Amino acid sequence: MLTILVILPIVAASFLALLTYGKEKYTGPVVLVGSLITSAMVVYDSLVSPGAVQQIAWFGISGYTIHITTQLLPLNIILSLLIAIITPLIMFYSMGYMEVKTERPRFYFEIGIFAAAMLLFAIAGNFITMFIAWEMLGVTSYLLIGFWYQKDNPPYAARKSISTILIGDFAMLAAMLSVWVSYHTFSFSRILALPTNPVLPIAMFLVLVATFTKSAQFPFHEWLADAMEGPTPVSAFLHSSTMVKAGVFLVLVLFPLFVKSGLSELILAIGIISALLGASNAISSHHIKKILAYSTIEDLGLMFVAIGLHAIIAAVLFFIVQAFYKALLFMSAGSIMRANGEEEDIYKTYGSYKRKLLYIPMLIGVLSIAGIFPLSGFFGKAAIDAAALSNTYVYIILAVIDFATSAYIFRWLFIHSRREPAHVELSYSSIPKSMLYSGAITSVLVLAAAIAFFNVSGFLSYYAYASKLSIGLAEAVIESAIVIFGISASYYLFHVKKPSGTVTTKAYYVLFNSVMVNAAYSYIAKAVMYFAEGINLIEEMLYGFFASGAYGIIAMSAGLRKIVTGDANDYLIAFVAGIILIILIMLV
Amino acid sequence: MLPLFFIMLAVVGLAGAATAVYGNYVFSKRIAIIASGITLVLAIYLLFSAIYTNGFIGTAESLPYISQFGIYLSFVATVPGVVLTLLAAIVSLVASITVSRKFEDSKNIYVLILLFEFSAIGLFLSANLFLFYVFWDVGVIASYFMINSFGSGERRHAANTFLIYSIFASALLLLAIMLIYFYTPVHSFDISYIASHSSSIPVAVQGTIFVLFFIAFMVKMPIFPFHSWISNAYAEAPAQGSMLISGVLSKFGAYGMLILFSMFAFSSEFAKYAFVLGTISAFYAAFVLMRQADLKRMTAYSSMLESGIILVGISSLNAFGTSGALYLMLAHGLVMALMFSVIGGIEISYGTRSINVLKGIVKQSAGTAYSFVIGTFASTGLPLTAGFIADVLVFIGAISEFGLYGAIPIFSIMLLGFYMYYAINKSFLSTKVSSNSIARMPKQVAVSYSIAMIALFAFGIFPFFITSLFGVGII
Repeated sequence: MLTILVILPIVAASFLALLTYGKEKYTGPVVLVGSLITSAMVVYDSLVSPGAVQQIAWFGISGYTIHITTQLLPLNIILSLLIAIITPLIMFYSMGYMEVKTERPRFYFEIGIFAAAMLLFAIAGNFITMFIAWEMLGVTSYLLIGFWYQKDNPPYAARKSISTILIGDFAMLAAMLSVWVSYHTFSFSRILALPTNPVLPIAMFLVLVATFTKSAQFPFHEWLADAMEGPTPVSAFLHSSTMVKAGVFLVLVLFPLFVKSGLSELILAIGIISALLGASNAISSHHIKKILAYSTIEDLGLMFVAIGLHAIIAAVLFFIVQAFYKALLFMSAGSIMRANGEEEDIYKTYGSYKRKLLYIPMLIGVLSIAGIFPLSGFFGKAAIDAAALSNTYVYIILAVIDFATSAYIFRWLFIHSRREPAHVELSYSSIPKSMLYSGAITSVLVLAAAIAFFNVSGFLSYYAYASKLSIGLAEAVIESAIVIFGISASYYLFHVKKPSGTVTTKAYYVLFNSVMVNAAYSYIAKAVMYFAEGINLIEEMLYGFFASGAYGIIAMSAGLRKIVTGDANDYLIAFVAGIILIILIMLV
Repeated sequence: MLPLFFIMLAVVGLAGAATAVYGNYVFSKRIAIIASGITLVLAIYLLFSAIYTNGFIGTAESLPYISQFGIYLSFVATVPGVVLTLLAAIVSLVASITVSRKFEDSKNIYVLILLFEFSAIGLFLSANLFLFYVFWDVGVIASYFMINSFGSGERRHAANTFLIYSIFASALLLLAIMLIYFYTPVHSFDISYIASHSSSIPVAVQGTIFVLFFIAFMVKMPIFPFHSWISNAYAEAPAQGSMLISGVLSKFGAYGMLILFSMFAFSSEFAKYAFVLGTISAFYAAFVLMRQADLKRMTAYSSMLESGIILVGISSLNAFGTSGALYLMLAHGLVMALMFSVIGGIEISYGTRSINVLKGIVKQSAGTAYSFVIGTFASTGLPLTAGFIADVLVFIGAISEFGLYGAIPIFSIMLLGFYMYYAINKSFLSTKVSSNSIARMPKQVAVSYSIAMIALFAFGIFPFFITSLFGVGII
C-alpha cells in the first residue's frame, strides 16, 4: 500500500465536514470516523511495511524529477503513531468542546486538514514533501489560533504566530533549495548518505532557524504563549503535542547534517535559554493555558538540549512522553475553564479534588510532568539529565529547571483547586462527558507511555548515531529528590500560604519576562516600519522626479510654441537663415 | 489542420467588433463571456496539443502582408506563448464575468476587454517583432481607455501617467526593433531568425539594442525605477482593468524580457545586473507596500514584487530559472485575477478599499474574505498553489547561477506576507467591529474568483502538465 494514502480518509472527512452546514450534529462523528480510519491505516502501515521508502514522481524539469517521497523509518513511525493515537482523542474531545453549532464545520475542516498535514509531515521522506506539510501546518495553525475572530485577542495572536512562522518558512525554502542545488536531490536518505558540502553549514543554519520558529525557541518563542487564544483542543493538539514538535522532529531526522555543520553547540545553547525562559514564565504567569504553553517551550527546549548533547534516544523518549502528558493537561485545563465559565486566570478559577473523573487524570498528568517515579515524565527527564552528566554546567541548569518544573506545575494545580466554584453542581455538570472521558483515556496513555523507556533504544537501533540509553540509580535518586523538593516548596508557597496573585516585586518581572520580549518584538516591527516609511519617501520623490520631467517637457513645448507665430515673414526669415546656415556648414 | 491562431484572434476580434457596433450592456457581457470562453477552450486545446503532440511547438501560420519588406502576419506556437495565451484567456474570462462599481450600463468595457484579449493573444503568439510591436500598442490603447473611461478617483491623471510611460516604452521598443531590422543580414523581423543570427550584429550595437529593449520591458513589467505608473494605474482602473493590466499587460514586458534574454548572447554579460535590479525591485516594492492602506495599491506593489522575482528567474539564464519565471507569470496572473476580483467585490459591497476603514469582512461576506486569505496564501507561494512551483523553480535557477545570493530575494516575499497578514487581521478575519455593507456582493464576483482559485490550485497540484512542456525548450 502506498504510505501517502493514509492521509486520504482524514482529508476526505475534513471536506465532508464542510458539507455539513445545517446538519452540524454529524460534523464531529464524520471527522472522528475519518481520523479513526486514518489511524488504523497508520498502524497497519507501520506493522506491514516499516522501513519503506516510496517515491511518486510529481513533476519533471530539465532532466530532473521532483518526487513526493514518503518513508517509514523508526522516527517516522514514532511520530505518525503518536498522531494516530492523539488525533481521534482530540476529535472526541472537540465533540463536547464545540458548543457553537454553526462553527463546527469550519473548526473540523481546519483541524482535520491540520491532522492530515501533520501526518504528511511525519511520513515525509524528502524536503519538498516535508515543506508542503510544513507550510500547511503554518497556515492551519494560523487559521485555528484566530478561530474565534469575534473576540479581541485571537486575530492578533494569529498574526503574531504566522509572522514568526513566515520567517521560518522562507528560511526553510532558501535552505531547501540551496541543498538541492548542491546535491541535486531533495531526498533525506540520499542527502544523509552524500559527503558534506560547503553550502551545508549555511543551509543547515537556516533550517535550524526554521525549526526554532516552529518549535517556539528563543528568540521566536513568544507566539506560542499567544497561540493559547485558540480553542483548547487546538492548544492540546497543535501547540503542545504535535505541531510545535515538527521542528524537533526535523532536527532529529537530519541530525548527522547538523553535526557535520558544527551546529550542535548552538542547538544546546538555544535549548537551554528557551528552557530557562519557559520555566521562569511558567512559574509567574497567571493564565491557566499560558502556564502550560511556557511549559511546552521549556519541554521543547529540553529536547533541543538533549539533541545538542547528542543524546538522541533521550530526546526521542522525552518527545514521546511529553506529547501525552501535555495533551492531557490541556484537556484538563479546558475542562476547568468550562466549569468556570471560560475564565482563564488561575486565581479566579476554582475546582475540587472531589471531582474524581476530572482530577485523577489531571493529577496523573501533573505528577508525570513533575517527574515522579514511575510515571512516564520521570524517565524522559532523567534520561536527559543522565546525558548531561558529562557537562557539569548543563547538569546544574537542568537541575534548576527540574526544580522549577515541579514547582510551577503544582502551583498550577494548587491554586485553581483550592475550593469549589460558587455554583458547584451547575459548573461541574457543564463539562461535557466527551471532554472528561477523553482526558481519562489520555491519562491511561500517560501511564502506559512509561513502556517507551524500555523499548525506544531497541527501536531506534536503526540509527547509527543513537547511543545507548541508561539511567543510573544515583541520578534517579537525585532527580527524585529535586522533584520532591520542588513540590514541597510549591506546597508551602502556593497551598499553605494561600497567595492572592497580586505580587508585583522586581523578581516577579524578571521571572515574567515575556513582557520585555514582546516589547523587543514591537521595537523590531517599528524599526521595519520606519525603514518602510523611508523607502516610501524615496518612492514619492521618484514619482515627483518623473512627473517634473513630464512637466519640463510641457514647459519646453510652451516655450517652443512661441516660435510658431503664423506670420509668413518670420517663416521666410527662418527659411533663409536656415539655407545660409546649411551652406556655411557645407563650406566648412 | 485548422489555422488555430487565426481562429482565436478572429473569435475575439469579431466578438469585440460585434459588441462595438451593436448591442447593449447585457448582450455585450454575454458575448464577451462566450468569446473568452471559446478562446479559453481553444487555449486549453492548444496547451494539450502542445503537451501530447510531439513537434507541435514551432507550428507556424503565416499570411503575406508587406512581403517586399519581409513583413508577414505570421504566428507561431512557442512554449511561453502557449502558456501565456492560456493565462490571457483565463484572466479575460474572469474579467468578463466580474463586475465593477461604476459605469455598469456601458457596454464599452466589454469591447475593451475583448480588444485587450485580442492584443494579448496576438502578442503571445506572434512570430515576428513587427506584430509584437503592433499588438503591444493595441494592448496599451485598450488599457488606456479602460483606465480613462471606466476608472475611479483621479482616473484621467492615472491614465495619462500610464500613457506617458507606455509611449516612452513603445518608442524605445520601436527604436530597438528598427535597429535589429537594419543590422540583421537579411533585414528580418522574424524572432527565431534574429535569435539564430544575432551574433552577426556588431557587439556595440547588440549592447545598445539590448539596453533599449531592456528599459522598454522594465517599464512594462514594472521594475524599479520605472514603476511609478503602477500605483495610480492599478488603483484607479476598474476591477477588470486592474486584472488585465497587472495579470496580462505586465506579462507583455516579462514575456519580452524572456525572449530578449534568449535572443542575444549579450544577456550573459548583463545577467548579474538584471539580477541585482530584480532583487532591488522586489525589496523596494515590499517596503513601499508596507505603507499602503489601499487594498488595490497593496496588490499593485505585490505585483511589482513578483515582477522583480520574475526578472530574477529570467536573469539566471538556465532552464530552471526561465521556466520558473514563466510559471511565475502564470501563477501571478491568476493571483492578480483573484485579488482584483475580490477587491472589486469589496468595493461594490462596502464602498471603500482602505484597510483603515474596512473591518470584519468575514462577518457578512465570508466567501470573499476567505478568498482574499487564499489569495494571500497564493501570493506568498503556499504549496499546492501555482506560486509554490514557480518559486521553487525560480530560486533553484537563481541559486545555481548566483550562489547563495540567489536566495536573497526569497525574503522579499516574506516581507509581503507580513503585511498581507496584517491587512487580513485588520480588515478581514477579525469581527470585533465590522463595517456595514452598502450593497449586496454581486454573484458574478464570486464566480470570477472561483475560476481564478480553481486555476491556481490546479496548476499548483498538477504542475506536470506545464512542466512537461519545458522539456521541449523554453523558446
